[in-house]
Amino acid sequence: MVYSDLLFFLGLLPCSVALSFLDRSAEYKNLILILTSVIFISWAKPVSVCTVFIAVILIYLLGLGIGFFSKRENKPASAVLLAVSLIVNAAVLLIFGHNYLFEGALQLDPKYAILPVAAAYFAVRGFSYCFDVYTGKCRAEKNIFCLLTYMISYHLMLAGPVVRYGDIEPAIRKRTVSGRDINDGLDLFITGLGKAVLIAPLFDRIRLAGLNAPDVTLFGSWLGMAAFFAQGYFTFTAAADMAAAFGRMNGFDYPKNYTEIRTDGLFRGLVKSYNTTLVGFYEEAFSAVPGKGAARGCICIMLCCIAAAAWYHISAAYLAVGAAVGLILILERYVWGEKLAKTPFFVKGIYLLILALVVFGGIYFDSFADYKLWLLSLVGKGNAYKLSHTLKYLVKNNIFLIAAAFIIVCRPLKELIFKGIDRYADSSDRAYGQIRITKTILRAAVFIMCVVTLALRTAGA
Amino acid sequence: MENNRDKEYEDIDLADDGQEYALPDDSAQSEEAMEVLRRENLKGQYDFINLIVLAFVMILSAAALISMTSSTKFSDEGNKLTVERLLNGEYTAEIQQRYDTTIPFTEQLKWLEERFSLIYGLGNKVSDPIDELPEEIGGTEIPDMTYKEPQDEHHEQTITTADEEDVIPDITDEPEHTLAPYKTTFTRTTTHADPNTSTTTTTTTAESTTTTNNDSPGATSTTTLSASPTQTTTTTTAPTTTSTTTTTKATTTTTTTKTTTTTTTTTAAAEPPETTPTSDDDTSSDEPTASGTEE
Repeated sequence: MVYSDLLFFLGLLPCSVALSFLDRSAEYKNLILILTSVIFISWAKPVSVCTVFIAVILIYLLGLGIGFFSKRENKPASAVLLAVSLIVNAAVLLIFGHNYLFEGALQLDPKYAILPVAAAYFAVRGFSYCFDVYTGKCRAEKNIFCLLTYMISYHLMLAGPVVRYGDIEPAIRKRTVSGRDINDGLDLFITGLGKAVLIAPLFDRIRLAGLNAPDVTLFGSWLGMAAFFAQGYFTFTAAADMAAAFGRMNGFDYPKNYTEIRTDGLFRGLVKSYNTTLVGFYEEAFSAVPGKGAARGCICIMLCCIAAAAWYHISAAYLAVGAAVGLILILERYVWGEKLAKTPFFVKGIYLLILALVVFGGIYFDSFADYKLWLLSLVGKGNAYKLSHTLKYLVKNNIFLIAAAFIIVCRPLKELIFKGIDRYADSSDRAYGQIRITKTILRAAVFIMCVVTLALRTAGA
Repeated sequence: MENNRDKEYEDIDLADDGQEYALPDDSAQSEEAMEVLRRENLKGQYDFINLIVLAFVMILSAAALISMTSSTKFSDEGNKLTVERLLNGEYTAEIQQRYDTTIPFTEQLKWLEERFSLIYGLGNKVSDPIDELPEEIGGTEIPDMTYKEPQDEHHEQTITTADEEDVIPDITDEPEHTLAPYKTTFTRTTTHADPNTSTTTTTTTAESTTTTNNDSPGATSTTTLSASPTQTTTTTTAPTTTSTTTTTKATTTTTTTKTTTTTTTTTAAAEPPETTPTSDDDTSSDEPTASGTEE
């Protein structure tokens, strides 16, 4: 089950939110959240819930152990337990999140494996809890149900964010949900749903037309790769928006797991703009590596980037891209970062565009030969045509959707438009009412379009 | 505490116009605070309208799609809830499968989606069927654009496929007649068959995919499909010659994204059984081919 399943957001989600309102106590809300999450993650294989519960019990016991030894200032013992928790969570990540590595091996083969949804974020949450107890950022949780609520919550399963237990613990113990929270949550959910159902699949089709066509064209190479990034961006941000929406509707306020793409942050800002909380956690974890000086900094950056790449996917392409990202970040930090920061924004923009295309484009291809061919085709070598009819008509037939997607991503344009709207809304109560009613109608229209599209896709029409 | 309260405040009767009571002086901060409160109140009102509208739309969608997926359609005992079926996922998979296959109002949803697609970009069209063509518009007679079936009833399907019970004749026999050309994208070609060898029937589908630049010629690719298991196949060792004629023009481009040209080396027809004409010298197809790239 995923967030954009009709059965989920038209069935399970409204029932869960409505049932949560029957009692004000946080314990009752946690119980409803746990039951909903169990149904969500075990929809394909209900027995997988057993695996999840076993993992949570292990993490609970390890957290208690780390907290016990940390109180007695027995750092070596707590470090050993932290290492054990790293192994346990890495095993969960490898076996359930990356089980394509075990094709052919008995019970670990994908067709036999029990697959809880989103094992990757589950594993990071588990380790982050133990890490926070070790560093003293939060105390070891004695109430296993509070920890279970944190670990198993369907809000945090598919696209994070990587919420630290210490940040969410007060809300787990006591929270309230108002009508405004439900309203804000619904708005955010529809935004995310529109991105996931209407925009991301469009870029998937453009990517296929541009990069997978029999004859790759010049514009196809550029547009296809841009569409590949756009598809990944909108799929991820859609899930992140929907996760934040579910949190709001349940009284949680999660940090945003992506930021706007800005030229000011250079390449480091670009890397951190996507899956922000995960990158932040990796940075914090690797900064604990002992040592001083530039050498330590370089090692930390490189390890962090490779570990993050492996978290996404364990393959030669991803690891190579991770190493390349690490190298650029090192060079940016110690060599040219300061000088580049003083250049005009269009120079920084071109720098980011070229780096993003060349570096992250590598994760699309299975072989270096294909990657090289694509690089050459960017400059017109190896392709006979400039533009294919399929690509041309795909772009033309969806030009308004593409423009809307561009406005979402382009911060200066978005600010210009929304500032103008806000200025008009502030001019009078009537204008404010007009803007609000228009927004409501647009949201309702987007929701209906998404439901119709999903229903037809589900029915195979 | 109550006595302190009595000392600090006087009881005020708001209904009594004559009673005078002290009011704080107006200040910029109080004006601002009142404005903020008013805006918050206004925002709250529109938030409520927004919530009601969206919740109503959501409930309506849920009612339309979920409650109308009736399980009585399946005419079976229903989805039994047992511990075993629940643990191995059959129960939830059955729910999903029943839901996926009984989405209601699919035609209406398609109609809606076509209308939605009009706002996605330029050039999207709706596929409304035209019940009848007007004979004249603005005094000009519109040519009849409807496709007419060929008179000899040679439908492409009967040429390229054979029913299981039909016997495919020996294609080395002389054909009784040649088939008339017809306006489809399928083409037929001849083969030279040696009566002392077995012959192969293959059906070839040529896909003409043009990635066009106005200066460039069209490109044609051909894929060969293996014979259907319902067809009788014979293999030939004699050189088989097939030719596919694809009409391309360098300066014009086709707007179709995919067209199909079928080249048949031998034919297997349902009724009557077809035989392929053989020719010693002529290696080109008997009938003009209708190419997918024909303008």
